[in-house]
Amino acid sequence: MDELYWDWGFALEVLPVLLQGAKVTLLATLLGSLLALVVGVVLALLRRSRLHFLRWTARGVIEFIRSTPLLIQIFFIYYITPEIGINLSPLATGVLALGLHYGCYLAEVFRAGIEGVDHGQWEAARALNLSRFHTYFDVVFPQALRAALPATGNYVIAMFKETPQLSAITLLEMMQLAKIIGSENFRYLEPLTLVGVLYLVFSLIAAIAVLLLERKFPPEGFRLR
Amino acid sequence: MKQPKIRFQDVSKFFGDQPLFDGFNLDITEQEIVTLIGPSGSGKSTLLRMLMTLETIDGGEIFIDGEPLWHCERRSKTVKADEKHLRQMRAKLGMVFQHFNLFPHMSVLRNIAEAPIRVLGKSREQAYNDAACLLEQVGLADKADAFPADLSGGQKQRVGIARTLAMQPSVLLLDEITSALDPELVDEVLDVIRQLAATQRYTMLLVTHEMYFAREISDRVCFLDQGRIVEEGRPEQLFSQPQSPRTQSFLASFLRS
Repeated sequence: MDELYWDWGFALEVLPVLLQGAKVTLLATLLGSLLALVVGVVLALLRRSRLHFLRWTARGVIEFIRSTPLLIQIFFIYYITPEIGINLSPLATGVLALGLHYGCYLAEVFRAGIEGVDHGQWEAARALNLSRFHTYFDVVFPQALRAALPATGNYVIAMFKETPQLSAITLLEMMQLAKIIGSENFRYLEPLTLVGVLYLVFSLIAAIAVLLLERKFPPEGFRLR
Repeated sequence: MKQPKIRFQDVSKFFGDQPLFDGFNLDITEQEIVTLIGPSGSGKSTLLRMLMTLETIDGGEIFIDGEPLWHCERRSKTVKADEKHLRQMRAKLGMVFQHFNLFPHMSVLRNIAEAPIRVLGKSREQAYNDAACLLEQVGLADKADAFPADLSGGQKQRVGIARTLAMQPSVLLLDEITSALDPELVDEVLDVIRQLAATQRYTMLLVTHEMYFAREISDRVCFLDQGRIVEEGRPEQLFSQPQSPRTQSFLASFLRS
């Protein structure tokens, strides 16, 4: 049996390729997060709609997507949408799947955040005759989303670590490239280790970023001046 | 006779299947200052909240300047009030809350200017200028850039009053505005109201437990118990010679404490 040894030369050789993959991973995470944010807010609002139909539809969508594996959703979007005439690139598929999936988790986080806003805030907004729109955007969201910030950060980091699942639809993100390099050179140790380290580094940076955001914005809400 | 500024007509309100109000009537004249007193659970705050549309009513009607609050004309039919109608009616009202309900993420100045900008369509500059004037009026000119968390309870409530005045209501609803304050901070808030009563022409409807203040400021005091006005009259009369035994025992309990 061969001895396990670490080849620095090989590691440095494959690092630039893996960093190319890291760009794709980060891009998928960033776009996925933005989509998840929008999906989350919209679903959270629908969950609070006065119309039964909308409330239950939103609830059904959330439960359905949360209760099925992300991988199946990725495959489903990638292989089924072309049949109805929509051709999505692997990246677009990945962003859509991550955004929808994590949007459903965020919807519940945001809903809790909105429900956590003191009832008196709604009453003050109403007494001041603010419209529904301004009540949400100027009064409720700055407080609710600030309250949801730590949990949101967790989900973004979780999403980031789920991006290797996109290798299943041939997206050339870090993990996919590591696998390709491994099979071409019959060496997996360096590429897999490097990918692991990169994930760790980016996750830690993201965690610190969330912490800094929490520090920058006071707990009572994102400030409006 | 002049039409009342506010009229509660045959108003009923249920909590569950328990009636709190059943055929409640009360008229308030323009520029009148009316104080509601009574034990907790008697419905004082609910009256203010139904008028501010924070609570719905289950029967009867409330009129502001003769216009029904909870119904409106649409295509020459009388229908349940829609949001547009409610917003028109609310524009006449301003409410100050027991727990201030300031927006914690906005500076003091922004708290006051927010609704004038968003609702009245004032320019930012105009709204901030007007807000600064109001802050001066309540003695907090130096706190414009502070945030609610930096203020004492009395200061918060004075900002709450300024925020309400910024919307230029003609009716002020003051819902136990000093009940959440430490005793030594009560007077700085009441002084603002005294000043308003002396210099401006608001119609005011107050709920308070500060009997000396009610006596001093009110044109009329109503004693409420279980959703009914048991007794009403000019303050000196009601406080010195209460007629109903329930009013007497309620006031006596205040004298004891």
